[in-house]
Amino acid sequence: MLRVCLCVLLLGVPASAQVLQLSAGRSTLLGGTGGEVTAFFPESTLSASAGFANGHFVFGASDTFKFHDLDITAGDRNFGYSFDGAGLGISTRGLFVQRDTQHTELGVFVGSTGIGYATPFMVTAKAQHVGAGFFLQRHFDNGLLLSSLAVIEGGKQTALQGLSYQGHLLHLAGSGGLLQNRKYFTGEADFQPLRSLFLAVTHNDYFLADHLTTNSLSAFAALGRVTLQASVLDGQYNTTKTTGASAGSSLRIGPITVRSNVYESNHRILLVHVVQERFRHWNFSEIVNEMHGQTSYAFGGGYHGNKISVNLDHSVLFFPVGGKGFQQTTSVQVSLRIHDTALNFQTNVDPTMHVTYTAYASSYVQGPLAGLVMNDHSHSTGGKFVIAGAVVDERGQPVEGAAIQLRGGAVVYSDSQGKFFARVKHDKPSALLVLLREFAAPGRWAVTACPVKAVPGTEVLIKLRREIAPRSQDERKNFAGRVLWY
Amino acid sequence: MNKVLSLVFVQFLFFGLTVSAQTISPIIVECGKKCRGEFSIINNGLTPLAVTVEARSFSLDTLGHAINRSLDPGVDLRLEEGSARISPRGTHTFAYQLKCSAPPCSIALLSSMVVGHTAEGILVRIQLAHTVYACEKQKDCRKQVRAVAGLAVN
Repeated sequence: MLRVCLCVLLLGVPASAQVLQLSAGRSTLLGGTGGEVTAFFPESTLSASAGFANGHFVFGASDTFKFHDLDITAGDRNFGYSFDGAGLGISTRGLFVQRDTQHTELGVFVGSTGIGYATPFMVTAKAQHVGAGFFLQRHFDNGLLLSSLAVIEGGKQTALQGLSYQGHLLHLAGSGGLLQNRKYFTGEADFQPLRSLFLAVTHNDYFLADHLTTNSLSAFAALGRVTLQASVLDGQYNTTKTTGASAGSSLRIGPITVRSNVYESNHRILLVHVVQERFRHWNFSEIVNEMHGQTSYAFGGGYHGNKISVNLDHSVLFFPVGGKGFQQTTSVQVSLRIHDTALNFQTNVDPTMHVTYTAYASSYVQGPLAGLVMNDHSHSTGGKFVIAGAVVDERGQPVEGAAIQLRGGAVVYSDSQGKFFARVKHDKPSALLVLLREFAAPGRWAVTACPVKAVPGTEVLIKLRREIAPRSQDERKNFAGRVLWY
Repeated sequence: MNKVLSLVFVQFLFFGLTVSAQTISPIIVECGKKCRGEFSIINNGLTPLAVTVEARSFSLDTLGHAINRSLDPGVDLRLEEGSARISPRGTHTFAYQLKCSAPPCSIALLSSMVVGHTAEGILVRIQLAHTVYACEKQKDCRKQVRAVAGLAVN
């Protein structure tokens, strides 16, 4: 009951907020259904999530605000920091304080830790243990970076220290300590003697149930349109030693990139050939894998634009469960933006060959105090023909930020010269409408002359008159309110 | 329940003013005499943003400051869009085609946007530039232009 009351009250507060972000979705991949409301106040952000995860009701809320130089979050938040390849990310419920300055980053939390459920449409945490954490990173002018992370939660302790140096040609980094009660050490050296040549050496020690050691040596060279890369790796876990090597090259000609890599590990060789074509809106890729005399193919492609993005990938994956072996799979990803609403849909195939999906929508709602609010209008997406014009005031001076709507809903704005243009697909006259309420220009305006229609290829002239004061009592009230919150 | 009421009270306590930044990417590109390019404006704010794009030729003075002027006669620039409305936290990509008949050409695509007003009601407009250097060959084009102006590479 308390949780329901909390939901109602927290959702009631955003009703008066400047801007609300509403998200809702369902994911069979992540096993959850729910939604989130985020209210953006001038100097704080209040967020509340609720839904079902794996059949259980889950709830989360947080309030983030500034207090002097501190960013404070009360409620649910992920405490996640990493450096030099080591780090920790845990779900927390409590008080989180962060302070970022030019040279120092500081984060502290106290509260509880537990299982978190984070998706693009819902963020919740379940308190299980009492915990506390601390992160400090300090940059020095001579290129040194000192990092420190300490966390105690659920009987597990993390205490990591890191030191790195970034010079002109050389980067050195080392870190070590306890990572959730396990000893850990890593070291890395990168050397770039030339702009086109890069060499790297790494060493890692993980003290898991047994001692795991990994080493790698890699080189990368870029010679104009050609790139070359090679690396050797070895690892030892308990008494088992594994070695591997890879080499490859790529060639780029205009929008086409051809890449071939060979991977060798424990006397098994894998060849991967990739061809990628990248155009302004479209991209395609074709992949051929060769291993043990077997050849498999994969291809994909997509379209990316301001309103819509679509990606389609088809590949052959190995499914070890149920003896299915290699199976052809297809995944689809679609993102759509309609005005202030983003819609996303993605399918995945899990290792048991079940198709899972994630679908969610997110939108912004402007509150009464949001300030400069423009209505939802689509915009021209190009065409062969051009409708152009100019907007001037009663003295013939250009007016910047005037909003003009063409037939079909496309809205364009005048620039600092008062000029505007829109590309249209048909060589037909288009109706013109001046949207006085949509102006990005300050003040109040009235239209004194505007042609009813505009013909592609000719330039139209729109004349405006500036009005000094709001006329009615209601307008004065609204005007004062808007200026106050701009 | 007291905890809930306390949280709501704290929420109202920290009422103030919002500040959000806008972003342009990439800032500088180099290309040959003919090129196609694009740049993106990211609206990091929570309200829709009207953006207008204007093209200017520019030259550099000895201090490295740009002096803008109207597009030079040798520059043929085709902008796909001259303005756009960008939704909150949205990104809009502007595409263009450039032909430079008398290289090198230095062009700034200036994106203007009104981001709000001061408390006194004065309009605050910001301008972010996407700079295009077009030469006979793409490589080291910016370096050439800066060298002509008597400036170091960076």
